[in-house]
Amino acid sequence: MKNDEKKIILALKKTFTKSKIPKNISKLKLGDLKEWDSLGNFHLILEIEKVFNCRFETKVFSEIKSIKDIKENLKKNENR
Amino acid sequence: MKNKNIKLSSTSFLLPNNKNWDFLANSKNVSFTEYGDIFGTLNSKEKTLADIVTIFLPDLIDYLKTENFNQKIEINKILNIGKLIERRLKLNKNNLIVCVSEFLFNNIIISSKNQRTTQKVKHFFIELLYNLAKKFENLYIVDIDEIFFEYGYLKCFDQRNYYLSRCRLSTFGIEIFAKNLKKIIDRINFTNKKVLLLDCDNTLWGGVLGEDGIENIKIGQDGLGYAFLEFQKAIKRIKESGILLVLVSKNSKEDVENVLKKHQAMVIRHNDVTAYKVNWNEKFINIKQLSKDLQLGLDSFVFWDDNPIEREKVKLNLKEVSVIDPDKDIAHWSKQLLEYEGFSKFLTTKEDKKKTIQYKQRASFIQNKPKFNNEKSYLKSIKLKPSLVKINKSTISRAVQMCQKTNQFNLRTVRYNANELFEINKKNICFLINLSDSYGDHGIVSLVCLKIVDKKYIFIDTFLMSCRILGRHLESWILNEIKKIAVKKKIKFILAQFIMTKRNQISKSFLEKNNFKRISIKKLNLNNKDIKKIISKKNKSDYYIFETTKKVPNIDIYEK
Repeated sequence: MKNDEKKIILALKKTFTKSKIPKNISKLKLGDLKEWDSLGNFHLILEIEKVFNCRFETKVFSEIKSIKDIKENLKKNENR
Repeated sequence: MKNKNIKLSSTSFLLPNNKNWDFLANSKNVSFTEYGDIFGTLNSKEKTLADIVTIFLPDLIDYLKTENFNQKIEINKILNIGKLIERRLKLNKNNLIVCVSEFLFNNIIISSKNQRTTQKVKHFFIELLYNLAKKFENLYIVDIDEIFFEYGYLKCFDQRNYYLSRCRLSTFGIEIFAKNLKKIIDRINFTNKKVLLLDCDNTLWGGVLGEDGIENIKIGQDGLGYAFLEFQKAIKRIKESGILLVLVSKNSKEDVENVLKKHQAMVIRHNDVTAYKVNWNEKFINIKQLSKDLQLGLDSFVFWDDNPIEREKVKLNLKEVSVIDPDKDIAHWSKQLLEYEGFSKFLTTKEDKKKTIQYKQRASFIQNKPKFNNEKSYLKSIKLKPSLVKINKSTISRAVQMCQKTNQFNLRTVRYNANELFEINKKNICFLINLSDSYGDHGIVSLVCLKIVDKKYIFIDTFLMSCRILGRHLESWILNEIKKIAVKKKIKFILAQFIMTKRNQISKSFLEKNNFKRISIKKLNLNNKDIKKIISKKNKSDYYIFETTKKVPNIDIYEK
C-alpha cells in the first residue's frame, strides 16, 4: 500500500510540475491544485494508468475526481 | 542556427501536455494551436522548422452516414483543404508535414463487397497530397494508419480518450506518432549516412569462407542461402540510392574478391564495392584509415556485423560510427536494412547513382598522388577540366542537395531550398561548376552565389564545394572565375564572410592561402543596407577581402 502511495505521488509530481504536492495527499481532489483542472485531471489519470500499468474504462475514468477515487478504483482493478 | 520550433495542429485534440510529445522534440520548441484549428497552422506566418497538420478523416466527414453518403460533398471538402494547403505552400516556405488517418472501422462482411467511405476519401486525399509534393519540396506526407499497423492499430487509438477529451490517440499512439515524426524532422535537419561497412562471413553470406571454401558458403536460392540473397538485394538497393559499400572483414582479401568476382549467386559484385578493408587488423583501425582514404567523417559510417564482439569493439573505439545490432533472425535483416532511416533521403538525384564510381576515382587519386614528387606536375598530368554550369530546372536538385549537405568546404553554410535558390539566381550571379579529369567525370561539384554590394565590393553569398574533389586546387580556379566577374564589372574587392561551424575549418584556410585579407566589419564601410543585414546577422564570423588586382595562386595547373 505504501508503495502505491509513493507511485501516486510520483504521478502527481510528473503531471503537475508547477505545483507543490502536499505530504498528505489522501484528501486531495480536483481543484485543490492550480494545475488540477479538468484537463489536468485527464492527464493525471493517464499518468496513473502508465505508472500502474492499468486501464480505466470510460465510465470509471469519467468519475475519478480525487485521490480517494483513484485509490478505490485501483483496488477494484486489483481485485479482478 | 536553424529555427527549432515545431507547430502542431489537428482536427482533433492532441493532448499538448502529454510527456510523450517529448519524443518529438524538447517541449520548449513545440507549440500547439487551439484544438481543432488546423487553419491556424495553415495560415501561420511564423518561421518554424516545421508545421505539422494532422487530419483525422472522421473529423471532416460523417462516416456513419453510409446510406446517404454523398461522395461529391465529401470530396469537395477534401478539395477545399487541398486548396488551403497549396495556398500555404505558395505563401510560406516553412516545411509542412501533413499527416492523415482514416481512423478505420472495418466490418469484414460489408467491406468484402463495398469500399469504405473513409478509404475512398483517404486515397483521393493522399493522391492529391503527393501531387502537391511534386511541386513543393517543403511538403511531407505521413500516412498515420501505415505507422500504426506496425505497432497494433487498436493500441494506438483510444476512443475513450476521444469521448472524454476529444483526443483520438492513446498515450502509446502519441509516443509512436511523435517518434516517427522525429525521424522526418531529423532528416530535414541532418544529412543522411554515406557509407555501409559490411562484414562478410555470416553477414554477406552464410558460413565461414576460410573454412568452408567458396563452394560451400550459403548464398543462393535454397533455405538459409535465400535469406542472405535477399539481404544482398537489399544492400544493392541501398547502394543504388548513393550509399557506398565497403567490406570490412577479417579474411584473406584474395578469397573475398574471388567470391565477388566468380560466385554465380552473389548479388553484390566487385564493381559495387567502393573499397575493401579485408585483412587481419582490428576493424576500428581499418575504419579510421578508411575515413582518411575517402575523406568522409566517421559519423557518416554505418557498421553491420553479425559478431557482437566486433560490434562492441567498434562502439567502444569509434563512438561516431553508427553500429547496427542486426536482428537475431536473418529473415528480418533485409527489412531492417531497408527501414533503417540513417540511409534514407527524401530524394535521390542522378549524381547519387554515380557515387560508387566517383569515390573509387577519389581513392585512386589519393593513392597515386605520392608517386609524383611534384604535386603540380601530377595535377597537370591528370587533365583537369572545370566548366561553369547554369542553375536551371535540370540542375536545381543537385544545387539544393549540395546546399543542404555540404559541411566542410562551405563558407557560410546557408541551407537554401529550391525556391530560395531560384529567387537568388534571378537577382544575382549564381553558377555551378562541373569537373572532369583523367579519373572520370565528377559531375557538378560546386555552387557559387555572388551579390554585388556596390562599386567597391562583390559579396560571396555562397561558395561551397563537394569534399570528394578536394586536393585539386579547384577552389582557386573558382576564385579566379569570381575575380574575372569582378574585374569585368570594375569592382575592386571580393568580400567573403566565414561563418564557423564544427566542420568547415578547411574553408577558412582556403581564404588564408588564397591572398584574402582579414578585415573588421567596421572598416568595410558598407552602404548597402541589404548586404549589411545579411552579413551582420551572425556573431561567430570573420570577414575577408580579396583585392582583384592580386593573383590567385595555383591556377597555372589549369592553364593549357
